Amino acid sequence: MLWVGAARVAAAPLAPPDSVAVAPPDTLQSATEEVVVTASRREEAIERVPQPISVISGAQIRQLGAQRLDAVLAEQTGIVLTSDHGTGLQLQGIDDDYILILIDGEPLVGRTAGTLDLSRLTVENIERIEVLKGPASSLYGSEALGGVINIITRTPTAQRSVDLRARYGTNQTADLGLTTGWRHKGLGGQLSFNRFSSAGYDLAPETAGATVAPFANYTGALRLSSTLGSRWLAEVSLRGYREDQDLALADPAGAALTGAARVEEYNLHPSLRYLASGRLALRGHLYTTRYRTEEETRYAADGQPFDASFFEQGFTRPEVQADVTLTERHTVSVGVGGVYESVAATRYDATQRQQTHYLFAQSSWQPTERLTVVAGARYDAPNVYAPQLSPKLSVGYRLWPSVQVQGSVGLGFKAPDFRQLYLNFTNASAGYSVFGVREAVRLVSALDSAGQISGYFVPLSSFEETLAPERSVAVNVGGRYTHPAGRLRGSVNLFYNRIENLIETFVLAAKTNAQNVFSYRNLSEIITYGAEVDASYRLSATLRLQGGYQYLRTADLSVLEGLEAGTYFRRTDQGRDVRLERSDYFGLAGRSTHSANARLFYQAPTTGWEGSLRVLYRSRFGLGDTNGNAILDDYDTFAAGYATVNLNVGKTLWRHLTLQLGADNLLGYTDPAFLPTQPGRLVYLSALLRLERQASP
Amino acid sequence: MALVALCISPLLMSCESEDDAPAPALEEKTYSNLYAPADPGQPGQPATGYEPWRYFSLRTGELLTNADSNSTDWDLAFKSTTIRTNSGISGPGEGRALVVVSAFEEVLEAPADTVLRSDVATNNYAIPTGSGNGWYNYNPANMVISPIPGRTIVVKLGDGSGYAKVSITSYYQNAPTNPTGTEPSRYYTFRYVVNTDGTRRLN
Repeated sequence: MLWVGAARVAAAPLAPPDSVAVAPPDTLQSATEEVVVTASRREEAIERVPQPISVISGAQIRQLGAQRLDAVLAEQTGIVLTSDHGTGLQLQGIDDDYILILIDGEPLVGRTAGTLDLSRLTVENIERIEVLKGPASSLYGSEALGGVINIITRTPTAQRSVDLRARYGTNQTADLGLTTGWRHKGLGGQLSFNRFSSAGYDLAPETAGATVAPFANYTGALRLSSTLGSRWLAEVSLRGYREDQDLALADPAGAALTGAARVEEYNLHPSLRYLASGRLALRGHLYTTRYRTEEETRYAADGQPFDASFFEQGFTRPEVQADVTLTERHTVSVGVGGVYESVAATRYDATQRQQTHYLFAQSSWQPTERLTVVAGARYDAPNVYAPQLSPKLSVGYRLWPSVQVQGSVGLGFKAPDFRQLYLNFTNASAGYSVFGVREAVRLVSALDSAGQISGYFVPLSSFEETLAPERSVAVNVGGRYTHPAGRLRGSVNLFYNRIENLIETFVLAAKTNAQNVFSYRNLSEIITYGAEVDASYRLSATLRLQGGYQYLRTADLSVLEGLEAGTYFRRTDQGRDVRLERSDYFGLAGRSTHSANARLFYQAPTTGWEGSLRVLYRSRFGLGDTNGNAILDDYDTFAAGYATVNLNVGKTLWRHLTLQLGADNLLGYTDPAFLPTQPGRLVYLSALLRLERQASP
Repeated sequence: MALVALCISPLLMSCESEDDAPAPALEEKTYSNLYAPADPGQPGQPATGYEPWRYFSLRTGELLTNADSNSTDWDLAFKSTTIRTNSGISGPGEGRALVVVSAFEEVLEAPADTVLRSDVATNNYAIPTGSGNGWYNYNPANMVISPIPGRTIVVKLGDGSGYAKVSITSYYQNAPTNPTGTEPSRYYTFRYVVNTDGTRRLN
């Protein structure tokens, strides 16, 4: 049995066994040879990827003083963080639920209201993070519609290393970490452990419950690898996460409640690679993950239960991939796999399951030294929605050794999620109901029989009991510049995304309690488009300046039609209604037209001093309509544009110990009305002890 | 969807009257805080009681009593966010209505009676119910009911004696400028113009 053999082993070889798949050296190639894996699912030089991809190095993560993934991503050009049942992100103006988050190429699950909480992820054992913008469904299938964030964990590079990390700051936030790596002959291992806790904070003391309740979480990760002879590499990764949080809330009548919430997550990922020949590499993965939340609240006065709920999601994905090097300049990767998912929750009547089987192929071809053509497609055959074909074509052309221009066109999709299909939720205090499309007819009919339905907005006979996947087409065009000596690097990308069949809630029926029954349907079509510029410039041997800017526009196409037809108005202070023009329309909620960052990094190896000053800006954005016309227009109330400043200084002592003192949001910017989770200034002090014993040659 | 019954205003303006002497402007009136509570009932449970509709005469500008419910004296009846006309399943009158996509001032005359609608069923009122369908939008984020700007309700009076146009300005007590959702609700404030001179003029 393939995978049993993988589990008893350990240690990565210095050269990846499929390094034959990396494009051969090229006279036009520049000096920097950064390797990425996200764009092709195999190692390749970033210079060869004709798509907007960027890499955040582990060294930079450390210099940012960050402890969780959200803090790292917040500082990247073109990424805007959002807050809705956890910290999420936007890429090219596309929301969190359309962006796949991977660890070592395997997807994380466990979203609340579409958000995969980025603060769940410690940066403890991260080697680098790859950010691929634009649709990647041609490789990754559902959810990779807006892009992919791939977290690459550390592999041991020294024979033995130990990192000890401690950080303490505002709100009694404590982060403790231990990462150790070792290697012995062909065996290698990486073990890391992290504990993160905070006393939380409350920005709205007048309401019951804290903004962030006190919590403590633990992450443990183990990665073992072993070469078996010269052709085999076996690896196994195991990761566990658990968070406990104390809740203090109030019921609708104002009675005090206490409770506890728990989040647990496990990932297991054995894999096996086989280098059949110089031209053929095979790999197999069996990834499985489980995510579970539990929450229980009781009356503080008498301990009587108020509410209890749980949510559990399982995801298993076996996959086999072959990389075939046809010629020195032409590599083809082919993969086949299956996804088996299940969800059980308080709000679901039964354990719901769905599965997808898929096939993908991607060809990377260099017809000439200057030209790179990457063509690929993936076919998903799911059991609950229609089969999906997601092709993508990318072309890069090296104008000069330092300049590449590139463009890509791709299709992306997102499958209807479990919530949209199977939810059975009635709000206990407000009295409205939300039903997934598969359950709606049955549940509404039951309410009707009980005399609780007063009328239908859509006759049940014409209600669609299925949802189509949300689909997108996207175009990215840009270029990259790399100064031969690495002094200046920069990139430009223009993007356009058009997403159709967006799944939205709508009112299906009216209840006799004057509330409504909601369900889901495919409705609107949106576009996001804009431009991104990113650059990094080495000012001196010790100073590097980085900066980036994104211009973003978004629109709901049905709103544009309404504006064209003249159906949208605003009411003036004098009570007159004035028809809105196209130019009055701001676009989608939560999007800023301008976002920018400027970051200065200082590092002087001779003295051991280092530091960074980073300024992050986003222009105004609206949370939603405030003047009754249901669209976000220039006459609505907006969150003001704002900048946050992050600063830190560090000093390395005795070569092994680095102390860092810093402040995130140094100027203490807050906006309780529009940024209810922005905590203000966070000061921290951290210490990192790094011990390494180099391998003997 | 059966509930979309909107009409674009430019169609209405093409048939302005061409009288030699302009008729005197009609008087615009405002009625404030018409309280129209919903049926009682615990949230999540079926209604356990009955709250009367609040009957209003646009012609007299007065709230009528429940005893007038079976007369043609009333023109609009309110309960929570639902507004009935004196027609069809709702009343014995000749009333009709249409939600017109236009600023209040730009509605110059009433559309033809064949275009105006009557109350056919509880899910098919002349004034459509539900957020975004008729006179209001519901914002789930702060639970505020806002009148949709650019929606004018053209009403044929219950006794057939004339036409009116109505613009709802607030659903909250004392019509706060920017309701937060915490104010007492189901208090209608609206402005209106009535014409009983036998023409369809509403200006």
